[in-house]
Parts: sequence; structure tokens; C-alpha cells
Amino acid sequence: MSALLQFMLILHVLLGLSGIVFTSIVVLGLLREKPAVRMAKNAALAGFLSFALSWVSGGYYYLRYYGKAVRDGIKAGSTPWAHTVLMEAKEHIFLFLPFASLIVLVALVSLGAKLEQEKKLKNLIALLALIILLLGLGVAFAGIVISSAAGRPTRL
Amino acid sequence: MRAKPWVGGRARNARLLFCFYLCYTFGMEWYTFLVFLHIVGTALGVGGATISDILFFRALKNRHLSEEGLSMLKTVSFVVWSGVGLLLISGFAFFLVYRLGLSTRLDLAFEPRFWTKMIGVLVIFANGMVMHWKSMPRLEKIAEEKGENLSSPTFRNNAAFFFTTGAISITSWYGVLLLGIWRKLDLSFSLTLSIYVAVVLGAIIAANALRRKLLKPS
Repeated sequence: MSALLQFMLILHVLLGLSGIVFTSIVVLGLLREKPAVRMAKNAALAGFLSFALSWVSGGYYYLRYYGKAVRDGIKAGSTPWAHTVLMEAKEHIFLFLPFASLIVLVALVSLGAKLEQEKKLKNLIALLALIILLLGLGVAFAGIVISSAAGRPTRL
Repeated sequence: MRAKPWVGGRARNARLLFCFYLCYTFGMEWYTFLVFLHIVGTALGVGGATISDILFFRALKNRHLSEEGLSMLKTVSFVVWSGVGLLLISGFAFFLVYRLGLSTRLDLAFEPRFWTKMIGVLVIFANGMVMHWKSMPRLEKIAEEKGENLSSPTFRNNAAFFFTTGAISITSWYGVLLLGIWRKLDLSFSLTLSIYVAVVLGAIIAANALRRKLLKPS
């Protein structure tokens, strides 16, 4: 694996994790009795940027390396489901995570201080952020299994 | 001004950079460095959870939670969150290092012990969020009350919640620690998970029995 691909993989993991952390800050900020809208807005922006950049770096790694050098190894290995089930699910879920986090950001920016009065809207945005958080965690755990499957010996 | 226990960001960043420099200069393996971070994260988490329980019980003994006591609890809560952060970063970095071929020591992802530990970490994370969302604002309200505020109706109405989340936190932290160090544990996933769930439920029941005893009107 070239240095650029290694860098992209590291970036993909770290930014994905940052996205999860920032999204959890959005959830916590919105669920407060008196919502911390400004903090949630900043965290939503950081979360969106993290997911978007993780998306780009992960996509680059997937297209340039994973499909050619890793996928077939996993499929021929002792845990082929790591690709056929987890990776297939991961790549589809991951496609819409940046867009879902963009929706949270746009909603927070456009509604702003109104959210302090509009409890229903605030809770709906918090719910969307919570769904993003859970999906992000699922994708991250799938990544752990896929990474480990890539290092496993090929099935004889 | 709000107290910020993490004040000194520049100094902390300089220390972190110095650590990276030492690792680079003395050729410390990434794996060893990550083990170091993982141990520090666990120490902060387990230590923080233990200290917050001790602080809580001390306040309960005096039947009073002061503003200072609450501030201490917040500082400890920050320490625990830092531990969670370090554990998450180093935990994921372990797999990254393995994937990049910088270490061949990890093939954990298919071990039942590992997945029970991950469930424990998720429980810690979710419980921590609930505590931050629900416990802290309630404790802030209670700390504003003068006198024996831990005998007040506000506290009594919320006590079951505090004891339950506290029990989940402490058992999960120690459970995760045990699962992390017990490398020769050879049980199936369902059995390991059942034991973990049983211990957490047992702790919740015991904590609430203790609550009833401690909050019995004298």
C-alpha cells in the first residue's frame, strides 16, 4: 500500500471517529432542557465536515485499493461475510451519512434560537442526529471487522 | 467565569507533541504507544467512575451537595469523558495499525470477549450521555437548594435514577477493564454477554436496595 493510500485510510478512520464524537455533542447539546444551540451548530458543522472528508478519503481508498487488493482476499478468506454483508451495508449507509449530517446543520442554522421555543422541532433534529450517531457507530464497528478480516489467512 | 479543568490547552498540546517526539526518537513501536494510551484511558475512566461514586456517597452521608461538590463531580465527569475519548481513539488505532501491517499482534475482532467488551463500551457511552443529559441538570438544581438538600423531595424523586445510572457506570467500567485484561477468557459470546448483563442487573438491584436503606426517613 502506498504512503498516500495509508494516509487516506488513517484520515478516513480518524475523521469518521471525529464525526461520531461531534454528532454526539449535537445530540447532547439539543437534549438539554435549555438547548445549547450555538454549541450544537458548531458541532454539527464540524461533524458534517468530518463525515464529508472521511467520505472523500474513504472513497479514494476504496476505489484505488480496496476493490483491487483487499476485497477478493476477504471473500476468499475464512470470513467472507465481512465483505458480502458488512462492507456492502457499510458503503451504502456511509453514502448518505454526510448528507444526513448536512440536513442537521442546515436545520440548526436556519432555525437557530427558535429551537428554544420549538421543542418538537428540537427533538426531531436531536432524533435525526441520534440516528446518524448510531449509524456512524455501526459503520465504525463494521470497519473493525472488515480490517481484521483483511488480515486473516486465506481459506484453503 | 466557568471553571475549566482543561485550561492550558497549549501546554497540553506541547506535552502531547513531546510524547510523539519521544516515541519517534526512541523508536517506540506504535503498538506499545497505543497500549500506553489505552491504559491511560482505562485508568482515567475506571478511576473517574470510582471517584465520582465515592464523592456521591460522601455527599449523601452528609446529606448535602454543595456547589463545590458539584463542581468536583463535573471535573471528574470530564476526566471520565477524556478516558472514553482516549479509549475510542486508541481502540480504533489498534485496528488501523493492524490493517496497515505495523503490528501483527491483533486478531481480536473475532473473539467473543472483544465483542462483549465493545458492548460494555457502548453501554458506558450511552449511559454517560444519559447522565450528562439528565443527571447533571438535576444535580445542579439540587445543589442550588440550601441545607440538607440530599434529603429534599427533589433528590428523593430522582434518587433511583442517580443510583441506577451510577451502578451501570461502575459495573460497566470494571467489566470492560476485566474483559480487556483477561486474555485467556474462553467463553462463548452469549455466555460472556449474559454474565455481563447479569452483573449489571445485580448491581442495579443492589444499588437501589442501598438507596432505600440510605434514604429511609430517620
